[in-house]
Amino acid sequence: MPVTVPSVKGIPWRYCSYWDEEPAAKLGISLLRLGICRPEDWTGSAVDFVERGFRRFCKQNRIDVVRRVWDGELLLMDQIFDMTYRERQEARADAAEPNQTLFLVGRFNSAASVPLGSTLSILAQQDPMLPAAFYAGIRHCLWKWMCVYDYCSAFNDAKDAMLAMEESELKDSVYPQVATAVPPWLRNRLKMNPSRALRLLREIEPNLTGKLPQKLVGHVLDMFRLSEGYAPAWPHRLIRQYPEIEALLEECDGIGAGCLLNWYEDDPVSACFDEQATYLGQNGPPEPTHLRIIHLSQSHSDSDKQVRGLFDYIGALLRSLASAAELIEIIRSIDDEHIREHRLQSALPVEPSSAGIREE
Amino acid sequence: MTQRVPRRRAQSRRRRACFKDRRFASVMSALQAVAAGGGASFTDPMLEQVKQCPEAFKAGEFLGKMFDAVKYDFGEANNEDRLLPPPGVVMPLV
Repeated sequence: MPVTVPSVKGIPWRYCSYWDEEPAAKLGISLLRLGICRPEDWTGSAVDFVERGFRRFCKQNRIDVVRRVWDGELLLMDQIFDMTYRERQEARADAAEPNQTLFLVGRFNSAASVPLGSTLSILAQQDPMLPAAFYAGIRHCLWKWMCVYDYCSAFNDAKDAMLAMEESELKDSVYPQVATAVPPWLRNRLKMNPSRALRLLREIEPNLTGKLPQKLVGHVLDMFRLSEGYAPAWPHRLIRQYPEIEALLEECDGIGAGCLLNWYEDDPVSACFDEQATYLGQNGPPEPTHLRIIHLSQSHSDSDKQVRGLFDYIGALLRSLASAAELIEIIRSIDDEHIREHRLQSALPVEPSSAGIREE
Repeated sequence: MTQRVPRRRAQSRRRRACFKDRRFASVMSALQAVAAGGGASFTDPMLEQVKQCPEAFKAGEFLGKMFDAVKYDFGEANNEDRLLPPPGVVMPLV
């Protein structure tokens, strides 16, 4: 009687070596005690167990909304950088025991464009101070979780670039336009203190008319609330505590921005950003935006406290970015509306040619 | 006035809680075994199933060689082992 190729059911598709399993099991114990992982997440692999709990936690904290705007990764890893199979084997050959540390690594693969010009003009109709408070608020809250490329970054880059340029070159250059393209509502108010911005937003909010301004301001106030008490986990902050990280970070080539605060798409701020982004990562991988260390050789209570702190941070990051993502979607729809209106006023023929339709 | 919970429902709740506790404890002890470096002695569900069906080893070995041949493209070396499925195995065409 012939036998068929057996099918082994109910097993995970991925298996890891015990070197990977051991650190994951140590983390998994804390996650199970804290209720982040559940007994039903157990499939026989500790790595799988941690991944299931981590995924569910991220989903509960609205990572799906965050992904609508941001392209990036939030990973629990045993190394700061991705390694090929061969590199991993080589690193393992030098080590005497499985890793006693894990890392939370967060990075953005691209910067989300936030064209603020049209939104600021809507807010200016409500209160002359509102655009400046809104801009300072959104900038401050985003800086908690990522590098933001904005007018100030563009101004400094333009200033540096102009030093090396001839006067004749400046005429055709975009750099002098950076300073002149600032919306009128923000002139002399670009550096408003975030705490003053928050106070102003709270004062103005009850008097806002219309759902759109209420939504816009409401989201910024939410971002303030959700990120309160958290400091950004920039990698360089760990250097004093773990000097070995310095050598790893030296191999990196800058840190990628997670957000571009411009006035309109293709404006001088965007042009400066494009110029900078071209050179990023040419001499090494970009630095991660978030880096936190998890020590696995600690007592139960210390380990639980550490993991609780880490997951509180991840939760705050995701919830705050989810609110920011909803705000950015509104800002983009306002900008789209502005572009549509301006196109209607342009001199398009009544019966456009096929080329005209494509352009439109 | 306190509400009385029907006895059957209370028993079923207790049973469920007991099952949850047992499940929690068994997962915790499995994790502790792996964390203590005793992962090799831990009961692996895949190994358990494969033990019950030893043909899976041979089929797995055969498929592994086949994939290696495709991946590394060894060509037609004369000293290469012939790739043969275990006797009596029916290979699905899909």
